[in-house]
Amino acid sequence: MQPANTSKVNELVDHLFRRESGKMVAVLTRLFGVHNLELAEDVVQDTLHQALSDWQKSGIPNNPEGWLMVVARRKAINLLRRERYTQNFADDIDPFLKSEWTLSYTIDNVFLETEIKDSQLRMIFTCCHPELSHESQLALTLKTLCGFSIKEIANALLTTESTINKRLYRAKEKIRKGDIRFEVPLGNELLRRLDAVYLTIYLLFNEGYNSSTDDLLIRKDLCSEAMRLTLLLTEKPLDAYPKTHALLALMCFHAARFDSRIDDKGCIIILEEQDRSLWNKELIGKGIDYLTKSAHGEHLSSFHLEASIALQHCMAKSFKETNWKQIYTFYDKLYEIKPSPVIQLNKAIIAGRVYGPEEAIIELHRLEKDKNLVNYYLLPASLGEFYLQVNNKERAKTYFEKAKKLTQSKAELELLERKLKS
Amino acid sequence: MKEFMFLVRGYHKLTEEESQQSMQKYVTWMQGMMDKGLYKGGQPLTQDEGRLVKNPSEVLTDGPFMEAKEVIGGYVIINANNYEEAVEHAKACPLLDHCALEVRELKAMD
Repeated sequence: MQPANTSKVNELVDHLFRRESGKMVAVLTRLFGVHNLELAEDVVQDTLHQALSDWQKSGIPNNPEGWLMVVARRKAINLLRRERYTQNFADDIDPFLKSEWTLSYTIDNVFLETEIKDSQLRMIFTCCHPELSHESQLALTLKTLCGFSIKEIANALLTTESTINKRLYRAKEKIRKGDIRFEVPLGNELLRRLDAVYLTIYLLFNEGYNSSTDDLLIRKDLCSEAMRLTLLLTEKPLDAYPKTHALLALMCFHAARFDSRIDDKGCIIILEEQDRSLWNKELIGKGIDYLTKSAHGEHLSSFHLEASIALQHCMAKSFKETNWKQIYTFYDKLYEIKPSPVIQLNKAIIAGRVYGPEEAIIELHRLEKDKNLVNYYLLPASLGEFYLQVNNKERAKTYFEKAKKLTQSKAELELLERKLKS
Repeated sequence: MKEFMFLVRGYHKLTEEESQQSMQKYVTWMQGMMDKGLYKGGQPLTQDEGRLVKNPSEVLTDGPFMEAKEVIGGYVIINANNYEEAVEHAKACPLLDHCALEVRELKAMD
């Protein structure tokens, strides 16, 4: 035991709780049944409260993770005993939990390391179930798997706490009604469902990486949580899917540049001006490993291409030395797989690097007609940028002003402001 | 379908290893009964103590009132169509490794 120290306890607890609570909720949901998800969350909350008060009194135990699991386990057993004549628990093990002949034995099994991972996988597939809206999936994932508070989720997703509460309520209502099972799907179903999981994790990461939330800590947490969940997907029995590795590689390459993108004041530093020596080489190395692992099978996914594009940036010694031609071919292929106007926009920007700003300006003007991009700030912002490059300051100004109206992000606004002055 | 109770008779202190093995056998048997929809419930009873309330003024505290081989160590309730079937299930039940099973039909009161 270390001596009690309130601020130290709080600091440790913040981090530890976020990491461990998702694990505990998953395990307890495995026991109580997914219809009792809230009960599982209550027991975990209760465990965390007890940890906080005990640790403040008598110090942090040597193995706080183990402490939490032991207490959660005890609280779960108490609850199972108290409720066994009035409640139904997880379908497949309910009778085992209701008989004292088999109760401890069953619980011991569920608390095994491999089973804890399995429960977390089940939880991922439950939170990312296609029956739920994307918004609900994100909120539910952050709440149950990542241990975010309602306030933190609202901050992260740029909305109000009451909106988040509504989304969670709707999602849990669906789960309670039994439309969504707590399991890892099999066979063909698995492939379809994995795509839904990838999408949610990808959104989660993007929320952290690109979003307009000013809270930098929350944004970093979103990214690292997205990576942690993807890492879970690389373990048995799901370790055979190249797309998972491609997604992880993509996230490593982006995360490697996280710190160099934002200065001390929270202002955006554009790629061209980033200090490349700050890029995290270890993460880039990991990303390369994952990308290598992802290179099998016949299916080239958008993650493969996005990761390859990000790698080109990571490998370039300077902005000027970037292999724009190679990047342009990747975008070309990406557009074949995912013909979205945003990718077309990116292609136009890269065209500007390969063939000169005039080319980009023509392409970007063409995209102005696309309804999907009407409110997308990056289109006028890019036009402004390329007009600057051809020294047409007046037009550049018009487009930067236009872009300013389309974003609420402080950092983005500040960047446009700087451009307007240049 | 009727309900039958196995009264687990006899008491046998198991070693750690024995108890792990018998637990696995029991869980397998129970899973099989569950899969057939025949398992209803069951609980063990403590062995060291008991009270026998004969009437409001006479309570015997000397437990457990019978010879060790007779003590009721718990119960299991299953579904079966008749005694023959119930007995067959009892014969397959691993509790039999260490105890005897008294099979009784639960009475449906008129």
